Amino acid sequence: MVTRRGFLGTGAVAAASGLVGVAAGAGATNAIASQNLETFVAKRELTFHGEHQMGIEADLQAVTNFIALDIKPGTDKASMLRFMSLITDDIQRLTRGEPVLADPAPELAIGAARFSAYVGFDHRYFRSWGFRLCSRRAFMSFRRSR
Amino acid sequence: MRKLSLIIAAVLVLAGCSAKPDISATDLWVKSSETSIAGGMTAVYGTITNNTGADIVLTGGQTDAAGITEVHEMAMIDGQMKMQEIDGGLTIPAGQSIELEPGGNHLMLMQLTTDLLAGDEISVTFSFTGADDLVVDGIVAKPAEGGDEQYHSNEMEMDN
Repeated sequence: MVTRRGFLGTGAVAAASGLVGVAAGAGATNAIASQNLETFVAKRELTFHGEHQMGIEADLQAVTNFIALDIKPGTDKASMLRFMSLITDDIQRLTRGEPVLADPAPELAIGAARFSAYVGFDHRYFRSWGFRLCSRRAFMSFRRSR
Repeated sequence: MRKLSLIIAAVLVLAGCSAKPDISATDLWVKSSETSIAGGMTAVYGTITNNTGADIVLTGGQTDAAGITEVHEMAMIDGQMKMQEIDGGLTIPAGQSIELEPGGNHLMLMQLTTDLLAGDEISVTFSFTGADDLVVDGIVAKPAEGGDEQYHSNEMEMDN
């Protein structure tokens, strides 16, 4: 269990302005029934791609971690895109119960266990990084047009 | 008649899908580290599968990201684990896979032409004897823990 305090206390986060919010939930980590039940629980998967953001339709998770990270000053659009693509790939693999690339302990990945993760960024960054923002109205009409 | 042509089209599509490539590469990544800078070195890891009925040999590769690309193994040399180029390449038996992994066999990239930062992507051409070259795009650079650790023990730790 990583608490925000504990995580920040490791010194892994550089001081900066801005905030990244990560919510990760893993179901069934406390399942202690038979091997069969454990396997069944471990193999349950949620879908990464879909109509809604991942996890929003999921049943209550047994464990949820909220992690907030500061973004280093001077972080530019290119490095954020690299970070986003890496974390997206990691989340996709974990939701399939697979080890991530460069996993030092791939044998630990025995199943998805209903893992889901959601990453949010402070909206100010989208402007400062020069991402094009789309209004809610434009987004909804895009959705309807599909 | 229209229906018939649709069926023929469907059969053609299915036939296209069922043809397995001779070689497939999965979960490829390249290590991003303090040495993966212009002029430096790094390595490509992942799984390469030989789908043919005959042995093939991974002999090397080519990438715009590096001046030299070689197939390396870890071997005991003068009592120390060191990496060296594999003479004659790395054989992938018929129908089997090989793992390129930290601490084991790997595709070594030397004289990097550019910095490889975490999240950067490169293209690598794998060269074989017994099969055509395999071009893989979008091999992502990732920092990695482990693989090239310097393990050292003392008697206190040996008690474990």
